[in-house]
Amino acid sequence: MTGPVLAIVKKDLKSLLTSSTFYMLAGLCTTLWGIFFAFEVFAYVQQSYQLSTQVKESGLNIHQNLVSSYVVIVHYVLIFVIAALSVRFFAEEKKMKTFPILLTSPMTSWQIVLAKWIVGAIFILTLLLISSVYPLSLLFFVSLPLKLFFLSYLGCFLVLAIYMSVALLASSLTESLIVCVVLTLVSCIFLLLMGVGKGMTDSLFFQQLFHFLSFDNHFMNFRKGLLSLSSILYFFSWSFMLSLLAERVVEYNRWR
Amino acid sequence: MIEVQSLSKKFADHWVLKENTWSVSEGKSLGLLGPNGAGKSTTMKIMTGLLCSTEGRVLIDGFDILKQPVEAKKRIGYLPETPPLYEEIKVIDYLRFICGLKSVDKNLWNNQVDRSISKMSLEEVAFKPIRVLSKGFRQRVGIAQTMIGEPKILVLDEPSVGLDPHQVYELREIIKSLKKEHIIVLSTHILSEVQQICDDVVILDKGVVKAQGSLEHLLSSRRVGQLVEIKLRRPSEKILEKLSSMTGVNQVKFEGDTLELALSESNDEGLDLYLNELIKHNCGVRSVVQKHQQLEDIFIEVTQ
Repeated sequence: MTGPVLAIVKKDLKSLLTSSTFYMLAGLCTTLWGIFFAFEVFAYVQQSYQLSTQVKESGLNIHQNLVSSYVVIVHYVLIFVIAALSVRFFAEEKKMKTFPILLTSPMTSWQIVLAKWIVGAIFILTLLLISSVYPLSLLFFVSLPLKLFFLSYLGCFLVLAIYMSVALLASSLTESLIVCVVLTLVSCIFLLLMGVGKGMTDSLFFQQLFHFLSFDNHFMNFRKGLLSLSSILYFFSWSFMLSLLAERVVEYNRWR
Repeated sequence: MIEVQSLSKKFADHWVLKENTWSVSEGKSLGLLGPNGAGKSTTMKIMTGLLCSTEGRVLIDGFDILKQPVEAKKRIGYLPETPPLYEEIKVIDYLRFICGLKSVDKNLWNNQVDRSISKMSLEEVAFKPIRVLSKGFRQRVGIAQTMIGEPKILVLDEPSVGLDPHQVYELREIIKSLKKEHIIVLSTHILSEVQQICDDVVILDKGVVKAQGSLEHLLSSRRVGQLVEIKLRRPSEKILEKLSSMTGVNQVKFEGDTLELALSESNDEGLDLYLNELIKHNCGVRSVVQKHQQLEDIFIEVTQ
């Protein structure tokens, strides 16, 4: 990391860690995940018991039936967290009139966007780490397929990286904090539901297109333990494209 | 050195700057003057790379701010109208953050931060969060950040706005002290500030350069003569006629008990003659004041 990027990352992380917002969000997420995880475990145990009484042994896969669905819930909750975090990228800088200090410093727009993206990534990784405590606690009782577990979390992070780029873009477009949150949330939900289009068309081409574009489809590959290059490229392309747009908007601010 | 060449800026379909050309050389300081909406802040934003020009260019030490922005920006410290301060962090942390932003060698951070703090007399607030600082201290922190990275040029957009007279005086002294090491480009509404700080002046009106040059040259070139105000105990109409007929007198008029003499040129001997006439006519001279043309007069004249 170069000087200016590191400076922004350090400053933003420090102000995030010293703000009550971070602890409130982390606390809220931990509580929600705890509740959802308890439900998942309860449902898993119930299903497992029912199956064992019928076929004398449990045929349930702990990863597919418990951890994988928990990771999906973690990802849903983090969409809202990213929307809340989005204001910190650029909208707040514009509102507090601190954006000029970044734009007039000897650094490129790319470096500014990259620094903000890294801050978001560290924040999300921290929350993902906290969320992983619940499924990892199962290790005290049962053995977990750790490779599948880590791939699921990698997939989750890659999807969230796209949402973070959406948040960067939304934040670069406005200085209104509310507009920024709503724009991020609506855009993320739109992208999340992109795969729904598959069932709305009879054309095989469009069905395949929607299937390919669907976040959920690629995310599912990771949850199933499939580490495919096309899915990795898919996530990186989305993230890069949205970050590029954010960079263009930051640069466009100079040209208005 | 700063060179502004045929600089124009258009917002939507409105030109806010039109063909501005001026320059500031090493060791000089320049005052950008103009009424509200004249284009001063826009000029400064373009100079510092915050905005792009529609036409023309700005060269900072030979580097085009649009084509070589990183090199050009290394040479500039910019204080916008609202100081760009992060409320939640301490003054010292803020200045260290600026060191990072400006890619200052890590070994020089302490040195540069200490220097900025001592120059701006920020010692007592260095470890306080910015949000608790007064307007005056905020402005000083804003200027302190411009000095980080030792830029050649400091661009200060209305640094004394919103300060009380005491703070304005202190800030003016600080800016004067910075003149020794930096080229200063200052925008302000306080004309006396420009007269005290700046060597050169650019007066803008509706985006057009109306007057420019050294302050001395500007004041002398527009001096059309000498204005003398004489307060009299017994003003009379007779003396008005007498003085009007004398050579070297352009205009004579009474304002209450004050006689205003507009002389064609500065001439102390001529003034003696006119005063002798007043004494002869028993007008009772109470006071004589020679009025010099001020920057304010020029400013009003060119922006009307």
